[in-house]
Amino acid sequence: MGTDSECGIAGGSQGSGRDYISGLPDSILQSILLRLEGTEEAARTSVVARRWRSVWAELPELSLSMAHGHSPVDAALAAYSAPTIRRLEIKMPQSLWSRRVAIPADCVSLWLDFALLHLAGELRLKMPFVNMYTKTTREKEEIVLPLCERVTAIFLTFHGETLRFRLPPAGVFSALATLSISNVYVDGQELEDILCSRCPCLKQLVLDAITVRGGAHVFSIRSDSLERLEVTSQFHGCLQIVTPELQTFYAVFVSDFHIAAPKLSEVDWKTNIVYRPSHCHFAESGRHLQRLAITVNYGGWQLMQRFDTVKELVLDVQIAQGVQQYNSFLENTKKLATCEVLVVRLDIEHACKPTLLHLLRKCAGLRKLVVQVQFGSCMGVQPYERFLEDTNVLPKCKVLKVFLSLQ
Amino acid sequence: MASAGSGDEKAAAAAMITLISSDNEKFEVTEATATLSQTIRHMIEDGCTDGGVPLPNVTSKILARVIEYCKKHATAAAGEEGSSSSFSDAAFLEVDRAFLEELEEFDDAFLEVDRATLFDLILAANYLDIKGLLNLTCQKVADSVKGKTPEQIREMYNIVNDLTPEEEAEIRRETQWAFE
Repeated sequence: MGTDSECGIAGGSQGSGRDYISGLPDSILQSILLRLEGTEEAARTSVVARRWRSVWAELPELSLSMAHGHSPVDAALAAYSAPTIRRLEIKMPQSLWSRRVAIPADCVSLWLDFALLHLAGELRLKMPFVNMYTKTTREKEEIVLPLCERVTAIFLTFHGETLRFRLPPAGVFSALATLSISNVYVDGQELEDILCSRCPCLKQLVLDAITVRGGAHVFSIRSDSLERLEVTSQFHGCLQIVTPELQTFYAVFVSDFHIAAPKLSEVDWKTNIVYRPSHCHFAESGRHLQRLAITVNYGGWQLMQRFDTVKELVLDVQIAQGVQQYNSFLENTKKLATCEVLVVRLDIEHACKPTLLHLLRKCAGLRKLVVQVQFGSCMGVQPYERFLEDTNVLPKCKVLKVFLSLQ
Repeated sequence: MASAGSGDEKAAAAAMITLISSDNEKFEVTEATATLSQTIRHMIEDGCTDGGVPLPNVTSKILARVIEYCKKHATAAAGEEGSSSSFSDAAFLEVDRAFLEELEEFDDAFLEVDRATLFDLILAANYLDIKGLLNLTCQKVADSVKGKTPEQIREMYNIVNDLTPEEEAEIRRETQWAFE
């Protein structure tokens, strides 16, 4: 028996020669097959023996690859035999991301029809990278999402295709709590309508690199249920957000918006676009936030005037070399929001200690401090730790952690 | 105030559960340990644990291992609740890393068992509905199957191929898409 444990379970036939695995109940065998490299590998076990023949075809989750085009995916979906599936993922494997495979939009729409019929759970579709220069031609490829009433989460990552919705006159995405779309063209009016009246329990929305075509100059997001909104897309006009339950607003590249969110508690503003107070309206929000994350060298610091008491303040500090740059940093951070916890992410090669000291002097009531030093920074971690111990700027503050960040 | 103290003791004593293996061996465990098993959690909720919980499908040898797993992971669960992860920043998660690494080491060592034991653990985890243990043991089997041809899987697990050559050819045709 000692040799058995040494060899692990892959030790070949020196056990008792018994077949332990085939006698497992279907649910356990499926749970093992789900841990293989995708549904393809699971389906290959169908020739092991009669017991294994159709186990894969009733897996509760499918994870299919577009590496060999659309037909293997078509065949797998056609052979699938369980009535309901809880997760459907169709993607390009990470290791083959650069392989050029053109998948016709019609085929993808048919896969989404499969989701309409069978999926009660999560849908993940990640289109393969085609060619950045052909992006404009992909726009004409329209992928149609039907009204999947039992789907709880949708993650769509395209490569410049257009996303359309096929909606009956009535009916809603009644289970949909998470919607994330990335790198797609959308019809403004259509998406507005979906968000406003067809997603009654949507809690999280991610709009990443979407291009809004046609429709109004103003793009509106109106939702009575939305709690978290991530927008990392550029809009031509104003982005109007009316979300009574919204708690978290994460924005990149959004320079013109009007947001009415009385429950807002977390704002993450990472942008290289100058913040213009006249174009950024936080209506109905108080002055207090649980968490505010900003990049101080761009206009983000001005948000601290709008939200002046914050429980956790996260400052990304990047300062280009030069006296002028440093002076404008000092100017921008003359007054920080009052905070209990300060997280400083330093991404600078010079004047590290004075920079930190300057920030700490502005935070009288601080209770916890986290300093995150960018990997490759000039000093490493220990000098900061010693420095913070020695300076004693904040006698009542607990330095929680100083560490290197690999980001 | 003395009565409050004895009340606490009583509560602590009441929180012990007796598990009885198929070969009639008794194991005393805390409720926190036992309730990693959803099956036992439901029994406790229904108040049917007086006089011990008989587990006719689990031998004492396997039950001892299962309890070892549950004890370790119950401590882990308690630790997670206690840690101050109310802050969203990744910086605060850093603190728990050492603890998670220790847990991972425990799991790796725990899986150093012969094949019969591994499959008994799978069945016990399934019967007792201990999600973490079922995931862990199924992953171990999946890792051994990963990247293997059907022939290699048969050989490794002593599986008799009861398909006729014609049937096998037919299945291969049907699942051609998976062999590309």
